[in-house]
Amino acid sequence: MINLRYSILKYVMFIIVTFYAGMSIAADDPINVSVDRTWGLLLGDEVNVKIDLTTLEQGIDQSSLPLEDKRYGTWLYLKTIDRTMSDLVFHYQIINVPQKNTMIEIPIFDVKLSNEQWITLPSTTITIGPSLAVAEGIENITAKPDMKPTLISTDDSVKRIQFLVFVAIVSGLILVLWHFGWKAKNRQPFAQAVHDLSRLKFHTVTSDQAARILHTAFNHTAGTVVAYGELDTLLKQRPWLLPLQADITLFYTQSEQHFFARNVQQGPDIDSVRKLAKACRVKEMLA
Amino acid sequence: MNKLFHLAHWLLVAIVVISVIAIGQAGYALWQTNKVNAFISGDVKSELVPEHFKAQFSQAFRDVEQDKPDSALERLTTVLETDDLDLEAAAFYNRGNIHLHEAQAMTASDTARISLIGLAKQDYRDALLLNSSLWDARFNLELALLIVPEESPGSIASAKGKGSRVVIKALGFRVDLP
Repeated sequence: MINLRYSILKYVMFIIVTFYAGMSIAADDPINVSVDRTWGLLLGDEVNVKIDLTTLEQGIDQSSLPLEDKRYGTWLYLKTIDRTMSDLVFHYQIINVPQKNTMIEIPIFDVKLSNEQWITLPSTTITIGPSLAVAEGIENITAKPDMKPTLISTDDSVKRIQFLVFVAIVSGLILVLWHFGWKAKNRQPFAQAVHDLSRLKFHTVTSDQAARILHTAFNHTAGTVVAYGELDTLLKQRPWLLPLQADITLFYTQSEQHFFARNVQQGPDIDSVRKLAKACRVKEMLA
Repeated sequence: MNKLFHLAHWLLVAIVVISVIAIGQAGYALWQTNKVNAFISGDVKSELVPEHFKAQFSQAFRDVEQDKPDSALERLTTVLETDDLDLEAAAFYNRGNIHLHEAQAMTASDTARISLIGLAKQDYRDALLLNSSLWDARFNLELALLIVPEESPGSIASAKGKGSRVVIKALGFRVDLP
């Protein structure tokens, strides 16, 4: 019986000792702090202090972190704090330096854990110093001059305009080639007709010339000479001209009366010929 | 197929028209920019200062050269509204220089000197916060700190979360001490 009690007591003691030993190890786990540069730091330099939170079992209450964009102490200005689950990075800037190299301590902050417990974030030291030599007195030091004004960059605007001009030229060229063809011999019949009629705008032109140009276009389209009586054949061969049947018939009627009738009558007028040529060209282009 | 051709044709026409309009707009903007640049470089003398912040900065630079620090301070304070961080930092730096030069022109016993150095330090620090690679700002800030040091032995290594700005926070105007 005594042996049994002794054994139980021994196990209980063992459990208690193990538990407290574990607790003390956890409590003594240090929070690791590191700095990207610890010495040779000058006025205006930025220092990043990284605090490793992986040893903490509880997360940090973000609202308990120190205020950003604020001066802390004599030397440092806290610009921002980067927060992640595993670490905090304090971005400081050195805004004041002593007259000789000095070791200073990073500000110490108390922060709250998610279990409402407060802990003190560890600190570390860095060495800051002056960059100006003042042995001969500050009277000999001249301040740096004002910054000179700089011109507004026009590179982007020029590039944009160049790009737009390129797009406009390429698109316009495609349109021109579409309408008139690459070379005269490659042009489609009505494209050639429109081209010839537009050139005639600048010269004295008779309605006869205009009508002949359009007749030539119809002949090339049919692959043979198209007479008034053969219009149906042409329209069967080139059905895309059907929507213009009435205008084409009128043109051929007027043309026949002008060129072949005994009593010569007024031929088709130049404007109507141009209009018909353009209409035919549109159909030809989309055929 | 016809519909597709129609669509492609009008698309090309639309591209040409839109491009030509955009060329016109961009060309006009470029012409305006070149006018401002002519003012900045001093090729054009004009009483009317363009509203562009760089033109204001340029005029402030000339004001300092012509010994008109108050006008320069006013213009540089206007420039601080810019979204261009480099220009903002330059405006802070030049403002700091105006304060520093005014303070250096005073005798050591003049009480306004400390206040002006404080303003200069604040401007240089703001410039460095925006652009820490401004070496001239570092240099002049250190010079200002040599003229009026901020070291206080009690504050070293004992910040413990209780920060406070030592410098005077007034910006853009002179503070004349009684």
